[in-house]
Amino acid sequence: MTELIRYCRGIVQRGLKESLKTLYYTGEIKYGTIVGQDSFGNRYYENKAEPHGRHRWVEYGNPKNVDASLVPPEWHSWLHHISDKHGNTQDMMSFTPTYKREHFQNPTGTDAAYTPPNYLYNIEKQKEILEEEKK
Amino acid sequence: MSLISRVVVRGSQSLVNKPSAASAIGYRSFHTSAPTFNARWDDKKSQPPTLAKIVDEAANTFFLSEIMVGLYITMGYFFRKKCTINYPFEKGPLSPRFRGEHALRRYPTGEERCIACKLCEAICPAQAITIEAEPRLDGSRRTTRYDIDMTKCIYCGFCQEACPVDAIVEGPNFEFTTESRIELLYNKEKLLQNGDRWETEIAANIAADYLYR
Repeated sequence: MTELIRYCRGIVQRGLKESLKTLYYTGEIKYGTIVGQDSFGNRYYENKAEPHGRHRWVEYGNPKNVDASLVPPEWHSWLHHISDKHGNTQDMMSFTPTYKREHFQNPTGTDAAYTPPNYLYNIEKQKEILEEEKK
Repeated sequence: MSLISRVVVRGSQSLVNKPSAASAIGYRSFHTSAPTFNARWDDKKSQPPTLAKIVDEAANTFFLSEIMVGLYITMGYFFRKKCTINYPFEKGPLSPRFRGEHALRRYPTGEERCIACKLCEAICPAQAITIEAEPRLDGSRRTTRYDIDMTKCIYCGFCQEACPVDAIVEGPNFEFTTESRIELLYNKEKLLQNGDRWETEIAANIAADYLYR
């Protein structure tokens, strides 16, 4: 019964169209307060009435591209229940160094994936580039 | 001594007094009491069937009552709060000391911390770390090569324990799965990049643990 009430409140919070979309992509309709939003457009929610361990969650900016590695380090510790400091607080921002690099999704399977420079494919690619430069 | 011998004698007497089924077959039993061949757990003899019992059992079978009880419990859980974590949206709890993907840290100025002391290389039980070092142009000692074979690494955390300058750490990230093995052979560039990306959380976790360091 509690589940049905929860679903109803979730639908009330986000409207029928949005809740159908959420149900389709996440398999769940939850309601809660929005804690913040990061640069990827991921929205972070909290509801202490949920069972412990499920009371913090993220709804990804692009629901078609859902990947756990999209959560940036400022929000990672909040989402993983490591600390209560979330990415928008000054506490978390004060740890951000000047040399910080942009966070990105796990690039495996794409062209941006890391491979060691002495990997044979990379050496061959370097040769090709050099030959093209000579021409 | 006498006590032990008395027990042994009594045991042997009981074997002799009660000729068991085992001794009748012809092998020597290690039991002091006569072995029973009942499969019942309570050692009671099975009762002869009565009419009431037969009717009860037939009714249980006919109306699938045990299956119905099972389905009733399933139905109860169907309406209860779900406690399964819906993974990419909700995530399990971690510790600030969690040992995940490695990262090489920098000082706040941007200077890399690693001084190529090779303590991590020495302590690594899986021998996953390879370091080569030489003095830099300004005379400071730095690594020219810092490779970690993540396929060898057992994530024991000895490298970060050994490091005198907190340069190599195991960060909180564990979502670095790759499609090919070659992508897990990390070099210094990749490790420093990890450090630059995750420094915010690494520093926060170290700060959270300051009482125990």
